[in-house]
Amino acid sequence: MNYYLLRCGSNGKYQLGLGDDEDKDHLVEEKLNWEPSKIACGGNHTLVLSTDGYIYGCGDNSKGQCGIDDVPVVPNLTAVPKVGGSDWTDVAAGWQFSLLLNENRELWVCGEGFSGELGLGKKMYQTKLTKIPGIWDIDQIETSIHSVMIKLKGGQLYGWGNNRKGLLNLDSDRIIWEPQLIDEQVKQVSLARSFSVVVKEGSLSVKGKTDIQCKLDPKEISFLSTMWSSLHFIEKNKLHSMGNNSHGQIFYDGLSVENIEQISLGSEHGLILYANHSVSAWGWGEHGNCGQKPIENKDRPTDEQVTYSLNEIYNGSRPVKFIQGGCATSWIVVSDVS
Amino acid sequence: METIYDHIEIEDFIFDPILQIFQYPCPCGDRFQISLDDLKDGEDVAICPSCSLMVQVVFEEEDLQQYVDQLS
Ligand SMILES: [Zn+2]
Repeated sequence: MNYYLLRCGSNGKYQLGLGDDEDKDHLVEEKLNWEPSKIACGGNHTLVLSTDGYIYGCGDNSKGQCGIDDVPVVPNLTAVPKVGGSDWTDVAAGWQFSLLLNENRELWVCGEGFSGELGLGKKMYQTKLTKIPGIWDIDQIETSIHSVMIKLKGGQLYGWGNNRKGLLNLDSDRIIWEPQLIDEQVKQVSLARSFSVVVKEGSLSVKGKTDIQCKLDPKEISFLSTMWSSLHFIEKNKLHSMGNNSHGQIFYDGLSVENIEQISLGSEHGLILYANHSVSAWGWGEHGNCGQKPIENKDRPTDEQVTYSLNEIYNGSRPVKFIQGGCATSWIVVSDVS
Repeated sequence: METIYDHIEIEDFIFDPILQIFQYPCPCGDRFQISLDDLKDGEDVAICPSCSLMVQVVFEEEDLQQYVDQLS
């Protein structure tokens, strides 16, 4: 079985891994000799995890955020060294930093951050790949631009980084420099730019700087995720959105989800994978991340010209394994027709 | 009319005392920017050099003194 990586969108720092720095308003395809299992998108860098334990990075590496030494940019997907030969098993990315988990349950961090997002202690602002102390039995890693939340398999929730207005669900200092236990018996978390959502048995809380107020019964929620400034969830088979709607982010309130296989949210746009393998995008698409649309005045386009309602970016001609939204980038992994 | 994408408090921006500009991440990957001089003049909209998005900087005039103090 062959796999192909299709991507479009913002590309000013080679974050699409195509060897150039031009934005793409149509999907550009690359045949791989490995199988992707997860894609993590930072501000201007991308990391792709493979099923055989490698992570491939591309894009801005000026702060070492791709985990590759001594090059300011990585123009094409390049393997990150396996520390001690151990397989990588999970990956996440923030604005200019990355988190990599290996099979020994060691959590490694690289890149730059001034708000404690590296988790290595006070005034640690930049690092090459370094192990965060501890053994991490991770179920879910959530990152936003300057913050991290990690849910362990036992339900414990840890966080570090920017805690402005209590966005990490902690009352303490604004900056959390090292991993700190936030809560227990947590079912799911989602971390937006300035707020977080923590789901527990029988409760759902939104903390941080946001107008979003919702009283939801977690038992009815089958999907929950965030863009930078909005919350999206499926309740009783309907997709609902709350939060910032400056560029059509909230378009799908109340849409029935019967034919939807996957939803993935980027910084200010979303992707929907349908059962027929087609993929459509909505929200803010100024960099081609929601596909093509004629923009007459590219220097100062109007809001309408950069807002997309439901634009098909992939027609489903081959089976889709998964989709991923990034910082104004869109990614689709497809395989050969079986 | 252009919509303001979001409202961001001045303390969330990173201040560069050499260039005398404030910066904050934009969802396109670049950064919103506004100069200290613009803020002193009462301007409060930070723009991104790579896209059309804009944010309004939330601040009081007396907030600016601490940044002026960093210059010398
Ligand atoms: Zn921008």
